[in-house]
Amino acid sequence: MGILVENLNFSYPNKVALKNISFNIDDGEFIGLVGSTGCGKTTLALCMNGLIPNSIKGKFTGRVLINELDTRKNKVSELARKVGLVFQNPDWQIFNLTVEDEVAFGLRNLDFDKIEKRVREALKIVGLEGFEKRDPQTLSQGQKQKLCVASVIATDPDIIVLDEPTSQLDYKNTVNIHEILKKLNEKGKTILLIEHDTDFLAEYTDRVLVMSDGMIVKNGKTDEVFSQVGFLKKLGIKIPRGYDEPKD
Amino acid sequence: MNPKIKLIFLIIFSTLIFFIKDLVLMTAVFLVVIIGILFLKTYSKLIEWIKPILFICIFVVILQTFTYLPISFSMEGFFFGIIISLRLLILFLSVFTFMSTTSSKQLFETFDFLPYNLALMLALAFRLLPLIKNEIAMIMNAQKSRGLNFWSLNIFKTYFPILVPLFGKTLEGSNHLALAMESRGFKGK
Repeated sequence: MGILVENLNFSYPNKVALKNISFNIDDGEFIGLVGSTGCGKTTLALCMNGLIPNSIKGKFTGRVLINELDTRKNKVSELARKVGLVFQNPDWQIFNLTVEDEVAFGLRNLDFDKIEKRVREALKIVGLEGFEKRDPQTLSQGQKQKLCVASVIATDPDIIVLDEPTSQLDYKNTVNIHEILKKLNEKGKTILLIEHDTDFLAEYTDRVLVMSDGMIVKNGKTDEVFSQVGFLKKLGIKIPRGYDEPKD
Repeated sequence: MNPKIKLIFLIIFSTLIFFIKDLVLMTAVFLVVIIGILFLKTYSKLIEWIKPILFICIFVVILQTFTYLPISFSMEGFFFGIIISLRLLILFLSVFTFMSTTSSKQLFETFDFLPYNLALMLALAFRLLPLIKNEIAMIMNAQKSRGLNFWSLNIFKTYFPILVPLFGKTLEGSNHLALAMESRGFKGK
């Protein structure tokens, strides 16, 4: 169960994005994924719910199993029940006229019942209760990102993948989003969080994967990975507070 | 006004102008559109949007005046340029008036007679216009701050630095939207 990635390679028509990636994530783990810009983090996230290779074409080898479902053999709409994906920019995800319609979109697509109840619950988790009838475009950037998280958790996926969800948010909203993720993890959800801010990863995650040039170059417990200051500095990754003294 | 009636007017105007070749008739249609704008009071928002269109119109008139007959001034070319410019203005003003007097909710309802996928596609296109407008404003500010002169006569030099990133951003954004929709189980109907 969880996520199993074996010998994953993926190339866009003009760029090799992922090189021989293997790792596994157990149920209920909170995993951080860190790496410099352009190292393939977003591409890896797109592999987690089958958008690669089902919708985005390229040369794909290896396999990704989500709760034992092979992403090559299952449609994105089937995998959407297992994996929720939150993108970086909420402006290009939200399109419905009301907050409740936005959250209900995935529920309707996947033929869920008790849609109203699920919408209410999802909005409550992210602290947007009372916003049901609001036009999403009138929300602040932080509220929009919370809405994107609500849209994903409404369908109750076992795994939630987030691609730099706080990159456009201020500190307060960033903390808010991370607290929401922590609560979801405590409820048993598996979280894969792509994040530049290593301070948050150091605080919240059980394990960290480090990517560089399309490869996983480090996979270990958060404390162990962030203790290797020299190695992280070479990759241009910010050293979290409290790990400033080199130990490797 | 019912958005469906407005949509019918929009389709009629934007089709009609391509059949009119007479300057007087074209001016009459233009005046009807202007009266419509005054009636619907959309002129305050119009000012910020119309500048580049006016610039293009002036450019078209000058171009036609001096190129209608090979490299010489001609009144025929001038009037032909005016007709093309009026056509462009009527098209722009009609779409602008429709968009600025129709809420997003009404837009979705306007297209409900169409097949689901087509209606969703059209509604999304209109829904994303404010987002694209914001992108234009951001790109314009970025290029202005790098010294781009919007009143330069070199149209390529002026508008390429806006259109190229805008095109890229819009394509990238619509691709993201499609992926986000698919991630939430959208299959089309």
